Amino acid sequence: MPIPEQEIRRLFDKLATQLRERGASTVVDQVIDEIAQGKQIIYKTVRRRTEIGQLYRPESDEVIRDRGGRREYSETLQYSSAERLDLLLQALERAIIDAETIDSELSKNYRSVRFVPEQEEGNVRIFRVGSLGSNIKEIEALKVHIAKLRALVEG
Amino acid sequence: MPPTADELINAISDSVGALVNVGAITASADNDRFEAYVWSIVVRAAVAESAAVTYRDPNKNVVNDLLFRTSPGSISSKASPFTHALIQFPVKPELEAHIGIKIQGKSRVPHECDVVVLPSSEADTCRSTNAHPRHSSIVIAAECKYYYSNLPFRLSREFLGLCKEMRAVDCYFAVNTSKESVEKVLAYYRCHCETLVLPSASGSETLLHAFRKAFRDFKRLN
Repeated sequence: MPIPEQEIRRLFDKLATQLRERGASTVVDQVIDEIAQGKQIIYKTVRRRTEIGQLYRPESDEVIRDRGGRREYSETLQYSSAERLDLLLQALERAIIDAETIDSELSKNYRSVRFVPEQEEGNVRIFRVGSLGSNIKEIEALKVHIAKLRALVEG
Repeated sequence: MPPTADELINAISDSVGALVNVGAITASADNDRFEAYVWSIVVRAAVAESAAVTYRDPNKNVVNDLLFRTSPGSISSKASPFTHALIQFPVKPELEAHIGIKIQGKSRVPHECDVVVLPSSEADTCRSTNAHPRHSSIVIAAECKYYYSNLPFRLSREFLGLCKEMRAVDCYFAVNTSKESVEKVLAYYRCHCETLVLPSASGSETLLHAFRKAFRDFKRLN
């Protein structure tokens, strides 16, 4: 049986809070931004109201004409609670599973790849590719947990 | 008894916490790796078009251990011996593929470009005069974005700005994820946009073919 909407919302909040506490704020922040942006744009045709004529637009560089008495408008749809939770799970997969795939692809093709800052930076980062490959067991466990949670939410 | 949703969320959080402690989920590092991955696709495309590719430092010495910048800099920088790929097509001018260098745009303001292919002659001139390469010399300029969420819409506006400052035909938008509205805007303006650029995902192959076409056109014109 699928989990009720309100319960999914609670699960999203719980996961987001725990991820922030464990140092994965970037993932949560990006997902929150994505939710604020909205899901997708849909286009709908609206009948033209006869009493409103074409407005004069002296600075417009494009001529927009209403043909056949109909006009096209766009609308942004919002994500449902289940979709929001899934966005967070997808983001985790990209942050951990996909990132490891890229890391291992580079280390497969090149003997050594190192990244260093060019100038004195406040937060100096020096790292090598191949470093994420040692976490395979933890990554596999994460994949299983995410798959189980998805199955549970979808009922 | 199967785990409850709360137990699974705790397990996910614990796994993520353990991975964060060993260096996973560092957005800047993930972006750097992604740029290197797109650069490696450029190299594959050049090889597929019959180029000989070697890895060089700024003094043109051959290197096997690759060294890249964590943030964009100048091609003439002598801070560290950063690596570039030297691309040699038979009887054609030599090219170089760099990661994270600045390019002088049409407005004459330097712009950060994530992956750049340019003629060696232009690179040599810039290294000897401490200048940034000019946009008109560029063969490929790829803007790389590694995102955990779907793409924010503002990225399409930023990329359109870059296309305006470079020659749009040389600019490529390479991203690991996707978003319908971003792809729609870039398609409307006929920009090169490759989404889902990941090992074993379709986007990598499409990007490879786009870069191969850029190299084929370079060979035809030079």
